[in-house]
Amino acid sequence: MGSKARRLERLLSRPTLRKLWDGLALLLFVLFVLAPSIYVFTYVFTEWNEIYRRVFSDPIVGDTYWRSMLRAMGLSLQIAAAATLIDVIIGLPMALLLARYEFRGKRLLDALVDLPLAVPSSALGFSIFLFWATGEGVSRLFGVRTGLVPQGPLLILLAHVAFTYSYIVRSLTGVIESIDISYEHAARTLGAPSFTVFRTITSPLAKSGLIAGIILAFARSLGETGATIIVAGIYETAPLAVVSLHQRLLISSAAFLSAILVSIAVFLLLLVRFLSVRVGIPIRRVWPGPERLLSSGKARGLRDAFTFTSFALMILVPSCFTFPYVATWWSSSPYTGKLESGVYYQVFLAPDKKWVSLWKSLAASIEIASITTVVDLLLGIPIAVMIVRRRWGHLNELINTLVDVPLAIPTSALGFSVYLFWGFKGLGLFTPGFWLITLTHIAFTYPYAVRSLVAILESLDPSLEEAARTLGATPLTAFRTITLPLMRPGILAASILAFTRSLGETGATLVVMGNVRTIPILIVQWTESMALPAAAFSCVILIIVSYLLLLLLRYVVRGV
Amino acid sequence: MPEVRLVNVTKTFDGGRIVAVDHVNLHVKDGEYLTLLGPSGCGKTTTLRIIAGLVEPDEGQVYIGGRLVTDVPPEDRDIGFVFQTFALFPHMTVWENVTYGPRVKNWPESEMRRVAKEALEMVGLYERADAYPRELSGGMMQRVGLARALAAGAKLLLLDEPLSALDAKIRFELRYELRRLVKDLGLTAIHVTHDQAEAMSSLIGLLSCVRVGFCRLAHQGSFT
Repeated sequence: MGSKARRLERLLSRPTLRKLWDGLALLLFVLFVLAPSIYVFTYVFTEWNEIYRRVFSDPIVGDTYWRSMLRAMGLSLQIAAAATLIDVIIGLPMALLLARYEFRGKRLLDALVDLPLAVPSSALGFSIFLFWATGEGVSRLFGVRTGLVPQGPLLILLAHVAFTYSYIVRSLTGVIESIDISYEHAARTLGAPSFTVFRTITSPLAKSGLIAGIILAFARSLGETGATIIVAGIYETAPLAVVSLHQRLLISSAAFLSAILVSIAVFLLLLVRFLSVRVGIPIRRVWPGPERLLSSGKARGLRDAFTFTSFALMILVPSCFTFPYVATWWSSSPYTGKLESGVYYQVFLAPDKKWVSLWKSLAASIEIASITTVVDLLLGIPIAVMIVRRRWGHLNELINTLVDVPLAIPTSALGFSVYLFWGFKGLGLFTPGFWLITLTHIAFTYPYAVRSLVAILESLDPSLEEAARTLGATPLTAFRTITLPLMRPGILAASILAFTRSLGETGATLVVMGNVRTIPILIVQWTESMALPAAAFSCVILIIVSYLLLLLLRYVVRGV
Repeated sequence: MPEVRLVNVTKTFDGGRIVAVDHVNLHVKDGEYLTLLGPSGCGKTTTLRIIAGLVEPDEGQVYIGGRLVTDVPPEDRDIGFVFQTFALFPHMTVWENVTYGPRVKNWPESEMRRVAKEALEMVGLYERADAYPRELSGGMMQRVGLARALAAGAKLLLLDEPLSALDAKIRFELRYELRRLVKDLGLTAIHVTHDQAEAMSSLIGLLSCVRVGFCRLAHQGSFT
């Protein structure tokens, strides 16, 4: 970097300009992320009379909409609660295994647990649909030609268990690993069998992390759209209701429901941040007999068997089932032998030229994800610096919490809010289509990017930058030459998260897409029209592409 | 009787690439205070953890009080272990920490109270029974760690660098206190340290290191 650049950096580092930068970064954050995410409230507020008339006292249908909204929210809450409960039951022993035991194949298992995170949600939903609800998957074990679990609440539950499992296991593994193992060793030497140690030492110490994990998984389940829309059949969860109300152009009703969902999401977020929940795990009592039995080698073997079976049968195989399906259906139907039913014919030879739309939507998906990632980094790095390095007291904390707001909002409600903000009800700048999709994706991927950036910045020693300053570097030069290079792993993580989230998103995109189709949307539409081989092929393409791009991204960022 | 005997105990890590303990034979008689002295990374701590059952040896046998305990889990070995980092349970008070052993062994309430009180009085911290570990100084925490190990009723005390996380003055005080307590109670103790000054006791085992992570017990004998 020449002396000109350094002079420029000196100029830009002047205190007055620095304040200007901070202000600009905050303004952009509000404009692109925060305001669009919660704009729906403004709308609900200004259009309240219209909403009231539509939702509660329609001259023809009365409060039908309100009652169907309540039904949808009831279903969503029940499924979220059940899915979280099941996840904890099957995920806790897995987290314990990964955090505390050494065994052969542990690294492979560790990677497999993360697999559902890498599969975009509509592909995951489709895979689970194939596995449980058609004659192709689990039914084959029993020799039945129809699906075992039809589309509906039970299938939604299975899908939600599969996609929240990784979150729970990841956060629990992290928490358990952060607990000093000497506590557990100390308890063992004092005479406590392993189950007692888990109950009285490990679980109370992991409590806060466990609660945070549970609330996050609950919020994710509550807001999930992409997988749910495929497995729901005629049932409607709250995020699906937003999509369908929007499709029927019932803007005011959709806005009202979105506002409720956003409120629930923000409430849950605050619950994690500010409430130290007191959940009593009994640590004073001891039940020596039963706990000794539970600590025995036989009980541990049973536990491990249960952990592996439930993981394989409920998470791993259903999540990846598109691959064997495409392989068996590639050239023709394995039952009738008809070429027309095969993947190859349906995608490449059939008159509706599915491969053309597949190619187009793939290109659109990648373009949107790339722009989103770049904007996220540009907007995110200054905000991350503010959160970590500025000494603004409560203001830092406030920004830190506000950044997470889009994270907790169901994406379909978020998409609807962004649509209102930029569209004809708000600024009037964008209509549904490519750029509105991109703006929406920026809003909901932003927290993921900032989280990773904040994490890496917090891990860097501020005295490194101070050392550069004492050696004569201006703040900006110090940041560019010292901090930024050290942030590279965090920037990599941020890009990967933003990119894959954008590539796989369905719920928000459904609302703002206009006539543009991304790949996840294509999967939803082809599933709805029962073009299963083509949908399965798109899933496989989507999974492979996102995986390859991740590898590429890793390579590029390492080379910079 | 808490006599400890190790026979040909070997432990390797990292698929055999690192030999932490190499055919160690050791005999500690009842009532002895053995200090294992050696530079860091030479397998002292691993040896101690093998005796406690926290690490499983690849080969060899461990006998405590004449009983073969190689396959016995740590909770059934009847030992007291004092950790370098104290390992006081942060979510429990001093009292709950000290009564943890008797509680999980399901002793009667009155007995539990008696031994916990005794143990805390011995280390001079009975009046801090309601404090949480974070409210104590390092020296106090290690005293509680000792009281907790004693209250569990063990006759064999294993001390893993118990003083090295403390500052010099406290270390000096506690060193003598420790000796006195163990002697007064008639316990058998194995004390691991890398500090020669700390190792002044009736019996010293030197772990010599041929290379880092490769050790055998070179000498076992008395300095006095």
